[in-house]
Amino acid sequence: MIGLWVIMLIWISFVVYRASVELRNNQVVRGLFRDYHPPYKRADGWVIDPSQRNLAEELGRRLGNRSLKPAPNNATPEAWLAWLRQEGIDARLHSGTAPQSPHLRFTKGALAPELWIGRYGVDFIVFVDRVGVMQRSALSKPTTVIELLGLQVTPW
Amino acid sequence: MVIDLQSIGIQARERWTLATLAGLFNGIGFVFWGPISLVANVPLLLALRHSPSAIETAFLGGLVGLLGGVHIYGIVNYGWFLLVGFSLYTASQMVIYASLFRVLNGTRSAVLDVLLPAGLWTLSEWIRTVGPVCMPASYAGNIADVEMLHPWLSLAALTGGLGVSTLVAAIQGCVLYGLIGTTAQRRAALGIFVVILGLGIVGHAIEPAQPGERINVIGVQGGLANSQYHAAAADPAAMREVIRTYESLTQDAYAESPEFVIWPETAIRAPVLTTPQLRARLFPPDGHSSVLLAGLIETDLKGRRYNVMSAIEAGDKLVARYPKVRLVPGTESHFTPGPEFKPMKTSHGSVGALICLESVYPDAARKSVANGAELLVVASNDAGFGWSPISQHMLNRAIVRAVETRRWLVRVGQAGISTVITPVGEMSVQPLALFTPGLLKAEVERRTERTLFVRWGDWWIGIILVLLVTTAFARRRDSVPD
Repeated sequence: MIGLWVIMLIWISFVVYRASVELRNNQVVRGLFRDYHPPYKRADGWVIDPSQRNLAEELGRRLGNRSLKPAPNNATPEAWLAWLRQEGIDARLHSGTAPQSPHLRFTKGALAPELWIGRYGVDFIVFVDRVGVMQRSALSKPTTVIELLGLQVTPW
Repeated sequence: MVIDLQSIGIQARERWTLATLAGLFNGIGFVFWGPISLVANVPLLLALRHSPSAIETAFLGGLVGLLGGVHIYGIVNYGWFLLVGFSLYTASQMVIYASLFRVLNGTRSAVLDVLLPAGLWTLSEWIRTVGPVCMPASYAGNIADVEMLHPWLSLAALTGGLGVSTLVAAIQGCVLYGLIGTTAQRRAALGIFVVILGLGIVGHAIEPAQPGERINVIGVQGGLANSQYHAAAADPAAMREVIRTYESLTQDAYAESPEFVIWPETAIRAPVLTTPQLRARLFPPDGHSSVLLAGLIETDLKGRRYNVMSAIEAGDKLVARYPKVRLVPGTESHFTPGPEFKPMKTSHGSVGALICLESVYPDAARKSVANGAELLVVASNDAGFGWSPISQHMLNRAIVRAVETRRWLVRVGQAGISTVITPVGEMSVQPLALFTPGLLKAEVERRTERTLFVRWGDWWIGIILVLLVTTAFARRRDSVPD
């Protein structure tokens, strides 16, 4: 009986281990056009579509997979505004309450702005440089907002 | 060390050990290795013979069901309550099985003794297929992917998968009484075993009726994880990628002009049917001969949502739709169920759609074929099972549906497993791997044969009930339980 219990406990452990691996859904899925990395949780929310893209690459993707010049590093909002206009993206500094349309939001201490994409229920959907698309329940107050007038991406 | 099998189970700790073993055997049979089902309940039966009380008997059976049920761990991504509910449900099945064994065990007939486990398993398995909240779990499904056992699986065309499950459970009775029976019981066990072997010859000889018209089908597997659909719901750029994936694959499929292009369940979660731009990109082009069977979400004018398969022909013509009848409890509570298992009539024939979990229910495919389906399609989204073996478990159930109805069955999974199953339960093409985008191309047949199971339904349970009633009357007076 003891031997049988040892075998059974080994099997149970194996199944539990297997379940923990298989259900973690942390494998990369090789899609038709890109790889999809599994979502994960951060302190500030869920990264629902992880990617290593920087903000310029992400903006290019949302503008119909355009290739944009490298964006300014650690730049001021004014430098970003100039870059956007150079790339032919209609943008303007926004004052007042943040718009409910795509915009760049600059926050204190952040190296790069975030791209505000939209709302999902009560949550906010933002793109974070070299992190990916995030779902957050709250956003910190931005210091500056640049409204992106030409970036309303429709789902089809 | 010699083990006295006659006395095994006399001690309580032995009974609980045996019940645990039976639970693990059943779980392994459901998910990992089907052939173990041939002996799965033998340890439990050894324990039950010496169980001193009805309460302990029930708990022993419940433990077996619970342990068997938790092996279906792949459903946990759809909700822990589903795994807990399924395990408790399976436990209740085994409580019935064990309790009835205690009541009916020990007759004046060795043959009835040996057949009792088979009768009880069949009854408990059948109970799991009826009622508004039912969840089948069949031994027939466990062995469906074991090619060596296909001669016996063929009998499903006569009795339904239930009859095949009876044979599997009958082997358990043969093993039990072969090990611990009296001379008469051992003789009966041997005789029944020989009959079961002979039934394999019968099954092997049952050929599907004349082949029907051959047609080409292409299944479209997007290969996306559920997280991509969540991202698509939140981010329009992600939705574009989902649509682009299905558009690209579907257009490649149209280029080959098959009779059917088949999407999986809820392939695109956008209002495709009511959006002209999407219809133009995704539906068969004007003048094209292919029929698209599209897994979509439909909202009617009253705001009710349906999980549907829609049949669309060239010219933007929605010629038929099938809304999912059996919804997953809890997870699909936001959908409205369809009214009946009715096939979709298209210009290339009548197609019976089974959406995901429906392929587990024998009556879904049977009624669809009885209502005229010439081909079965299972449209599924098993992405939530991850890389667990549950996708294979679901595929196995679909194999039984194909054999029961003698229909070609095209299974298209959003993340896999996509394959084509012949009317004798074989895979006619190499399946597409999990989470791999691609096209599944195959030639199938339209068939109109109506098997005995399609015509008579669950007639086999009637035979089993006669067996059990006969057993009840044949019980020995000295077998009355405490």
